[in-house]
Amino acid sequence: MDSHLVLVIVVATALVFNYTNGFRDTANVIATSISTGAVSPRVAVMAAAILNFIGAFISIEVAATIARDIVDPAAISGPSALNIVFAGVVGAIAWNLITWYYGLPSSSSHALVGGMIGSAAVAVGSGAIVVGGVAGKVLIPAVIAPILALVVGAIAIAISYRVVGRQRPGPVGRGFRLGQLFSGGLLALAHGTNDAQKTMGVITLALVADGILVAGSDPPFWVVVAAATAIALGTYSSGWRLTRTIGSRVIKMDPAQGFSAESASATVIMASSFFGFPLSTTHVISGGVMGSGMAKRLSAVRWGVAGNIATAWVLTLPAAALIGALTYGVTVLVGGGSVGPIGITVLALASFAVMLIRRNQRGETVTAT
Amino acid sequence: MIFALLDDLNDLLLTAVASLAVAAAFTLAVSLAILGASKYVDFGRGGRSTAAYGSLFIVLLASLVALAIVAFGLYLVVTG
Repeated sequence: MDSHLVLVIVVATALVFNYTNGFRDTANVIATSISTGAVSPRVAVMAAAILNFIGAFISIEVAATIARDIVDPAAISGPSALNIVFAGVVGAIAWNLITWYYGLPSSSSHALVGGMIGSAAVAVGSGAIVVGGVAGKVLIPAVIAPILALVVGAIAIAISYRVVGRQRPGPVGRGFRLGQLFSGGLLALAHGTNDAQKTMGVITLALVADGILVAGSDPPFWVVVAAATAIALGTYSSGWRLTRTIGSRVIKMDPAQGFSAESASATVIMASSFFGFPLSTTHVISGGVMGSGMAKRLSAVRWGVAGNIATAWVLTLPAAALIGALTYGVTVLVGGGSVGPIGITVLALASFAVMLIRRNQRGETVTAT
Repeated sequence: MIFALLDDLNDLLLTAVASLAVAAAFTLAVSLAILGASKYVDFGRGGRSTAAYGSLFIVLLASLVALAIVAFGLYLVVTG
């Protein structure tokens, strides 16, 4: 009974993480389509939510990576296993909230991986970490993917300008805005495919830790549906706020650049999902936007965004790992079992409420990195 | 561990090649469709009906190719 209660808390916490992921990432997914006038904000948010939901059902390779290739499921079995998973997810959520509050760049995906590594390393030792998996599936792709999106985006815009560059801007602009309905849709679909699966992987790991599933199992269907629903709700609920704030912070680009950036980002994320790489979709989209922005002049690119990504690379993983480790330490200090997770959940909810109130009192808006 | 890492690097390389190929092909197809549409309007206004129909054919063909690329890509991801 005690372990099942912790399991329920872990599943709920993981779904909250997925909700916040959808909430934070919506701006990145739809900003390009809105900035070029391809689609209205309300329609974009609604379409992104639906396509995020559908995208979650497309593949389970990323979920398998999270469940098997970051932390060894066999190594974290036992009474403390669920608390390890719980502490890892709390590490990710806490770092997401801290970066959101202070306006620092972050990556939900890297935070999740960092949190899991930190809690497992403290609980079981470094032997629980699948070093090859972390390096090959997370760290190297984290560096390569945004650069790849930048290159693909630059090639895509070069092709577009080469083919239609001498035509009249009116029909060409209308054509690329129409094309953005597809490229933007693909990007939302790709986002759902990669990001929703991270939560599926965590819940699957928790189910394995609790003995409900055997190690190496795929996510059950209810897990897929729950993760898809959480990310779609997060996407949808962020939108109404976004419709008021989007105009002040989107990147100004022409429809061809928007189309190229979205196509590049969508193909990189989709191909990565196929091979099971859990990417930071925010970083990939930023890479695609920078690549398509380079076509006109290098100074048009917001190189500060590249700096933010680099900062996120350096900070997110160790910071989330530290919080995950500390969280696990707290669950041990209060005697293990369900007391720790319940207490931490209550404390976390109270802290979040305070942060939300203070931030609203300062009159600041939510901005994605 | 080294072999697993090499396997992941191989997958990463395939990801790069697939992304480049699909994005380039999709962008080219959509750009050609837009070019065809633009020419169709120009030729239609100029009264050159054969050239206009030729442009329309390019629009339809390029649009179909673009849709086929998306459908095939999604099919590959879904079937794993």
